[in-house]
Amino acid sequence: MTDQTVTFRVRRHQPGQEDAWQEYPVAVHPGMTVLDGLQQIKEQQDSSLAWRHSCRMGICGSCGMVINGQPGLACNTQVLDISDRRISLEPLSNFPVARDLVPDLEPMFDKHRSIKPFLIAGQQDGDEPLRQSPRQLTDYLQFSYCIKCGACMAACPTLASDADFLGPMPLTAAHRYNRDSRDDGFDQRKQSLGDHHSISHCHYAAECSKVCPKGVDPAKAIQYLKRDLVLDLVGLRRRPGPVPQGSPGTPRDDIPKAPEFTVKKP
Amino acid sequence: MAVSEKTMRPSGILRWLGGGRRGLEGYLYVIHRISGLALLMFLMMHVFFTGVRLLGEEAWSGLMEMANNPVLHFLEYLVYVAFAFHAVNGLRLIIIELAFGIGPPDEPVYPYKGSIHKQRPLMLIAMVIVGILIFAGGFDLVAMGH
Amino acid sequence: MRETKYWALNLLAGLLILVLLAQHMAVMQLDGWLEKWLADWIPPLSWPGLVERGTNLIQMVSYVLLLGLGLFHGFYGLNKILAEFIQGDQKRRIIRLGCTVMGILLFVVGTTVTVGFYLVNG
Ligand code: SF4
Ligand code: FES
Repeated sequence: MTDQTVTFRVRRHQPGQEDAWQEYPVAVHPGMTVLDGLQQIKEQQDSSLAWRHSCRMGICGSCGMVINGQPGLACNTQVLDISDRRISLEPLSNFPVARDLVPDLEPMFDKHRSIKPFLIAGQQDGDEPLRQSPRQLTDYLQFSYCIKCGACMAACPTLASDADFLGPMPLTAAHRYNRDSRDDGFDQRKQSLGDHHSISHCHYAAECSKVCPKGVDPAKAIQYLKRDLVLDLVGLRRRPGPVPQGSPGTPRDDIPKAPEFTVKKP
Repeated sequence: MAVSEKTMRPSGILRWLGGGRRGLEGYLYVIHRISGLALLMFLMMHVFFTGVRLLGEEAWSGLMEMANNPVLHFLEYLVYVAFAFHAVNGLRLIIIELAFGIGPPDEPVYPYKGSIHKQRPLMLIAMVIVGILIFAGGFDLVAMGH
Repeated sequence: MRETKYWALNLLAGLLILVLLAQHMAVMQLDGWLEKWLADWIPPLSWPGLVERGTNLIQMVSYVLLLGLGLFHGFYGLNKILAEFIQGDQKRRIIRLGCTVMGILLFVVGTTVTVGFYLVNG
C-alpha cells in the first residue's frame, strides 16, 4: 500500500515569542498514529519540535494534545481516521504552555492534590483485610481508569472561563475515592468540594466525557458527586460500606502454601 | 487555592463556542447561561416598569400605550423564548445533576457509550418541548396578534 | 460547604420558579390561546386585569414569592458566571456583595409595589 501525504499543522510556541503555525508534510500509511507522525517529523524534518510522550499505548497520559480542535491522545489517534489531507495540532487548551505541544500540567496536579486523592482509612479492625463486594467495586472502578492526561480539562468550557475551577479530572478522582468502600474521607474532601470553583459551576456540558480516551466519563462521576453532596446536606448520605463481613470460605486444599518470609519479622 | 494567580491561563470565553466542535450538550450549556443572563436583565427592568401600576390607572395605561408596538412585542416574545428554553433545559439539568438519567457507573468497553448517550433521549424530549412552546408563543404573537 | 448549600437552594429555587413562572408566562404570553378557551377572559395587561390579579391574596403572595426566588436564582447565577471571569478573591467578594445588594434592593422595590398595589386597590 502506498503512503499518503498528510500535512501536519503544528502550533509552535517559544517562551516569550508569538505562537506560530508551522506545516510539515508527512508520509502516512494506514495504522499510523499522530504520535508516529510527530516522531517522523522530529527524525526527518525538524529536531526542534517538542511534545511529551512515553508509553505510546494510551496508558501513561503524557501525549494529550488538541488534535483537529479536539483534545485527545496523540498515540491513540490514527491519522487516517481523522483526515487524509491535513491535521492541526495544538497544545492542550486551558493549560499554560511550556513549549510547542508541551503543556504545563502542574495546575491540574495541584487541584488533584487538593482533593486528597487517596484512601483515607476510618476505623477498621486491626489487621482484618478490607473486603469489597463486586458491586462496591463497580461503584468506582470506571472512575479509577483515569490516566491524568488532561484532555477533559482542555475540553471543559467552565475551565475556559475559570482557571480556578477544579475541573473534571480532580472532581472525578474525588468521587472515585468517596465511593470506595474502604475510604472514610468524604467529610475531609467535602470541604474543598463544596467550595467555590467546584461542582456548582458544572452544568453537564459533558465535553469531558466526550473526549476522555479511557471511557472514564468524568461528567457522570461529577453528577454522582453532586448527588452525594446534596444527600449529605440533608443528612441522607450513606457510606458506601459497610465492608461485607462473612466467612472467608474454606480454602481448597490443593493450593500450595505461601513460602516462608525471607526476612523474619522482629 | 487560587491557581489563576500562579500559572493557569484560561483560554477565555471564546472556548465556550469550541470552534463548532462541541457536542450538543456543550452548546446547551452556553445557551443556558446566556438565556439565564437575558432573563435576569429582563427581570430587573420588569420590576421597575411594572412598578408604574402603583401610580394609578392613568400612568399604567400611558405606559401600555407606549409599549404597544411591534418591536417591543417581539422583544417580549424573545423573553418568552429564553424562558421556555431555560425552564425546560433547567428541569433537564436538575434531573441530570442529581444523577438521574445518566446510567450507573459501568465498566468502560470500547467504543465507549457513556452518560452522554444515556441522557440523549431526555435531552431530545426536552428540546422538542422547547420547540413546541416556542412555536405556540410565536403563533400567539403572529397569528393571534397578542 | 456553604457553597453547596447555596447551590442546592438554587436548584430548589429553579424548580419552584418553574411552577410559578409557568403560570405567569402562560397568562402573559399565551393570552391569545387562553382567550379562546376561557369564557370570562380579561386581557392581562388591561387595568381591570391588573386589579383582578393584584388584589387576589394568593396571586399577590405568589408574585412576591416568584420575585424573591427569581432574584435569588438570577443573581446567584450572575455571581457564579462573573466570578469565573474575574480573577482574584478580593474582586470576587466585591462582586458577590454587589449581587446580594442588588438582589435585596430589587426585592424591596418589587415587594413594595406588589403589596402596596394590593392594599391600595383591595
Ligand atoms: S478523566 Fe479521561 S480525559 Fe480526564 S484526565 Fe482522566 S483519562 Fe484523561
Ligand atoms: S504516550 Fe502514553 S498515553 Fe500516549
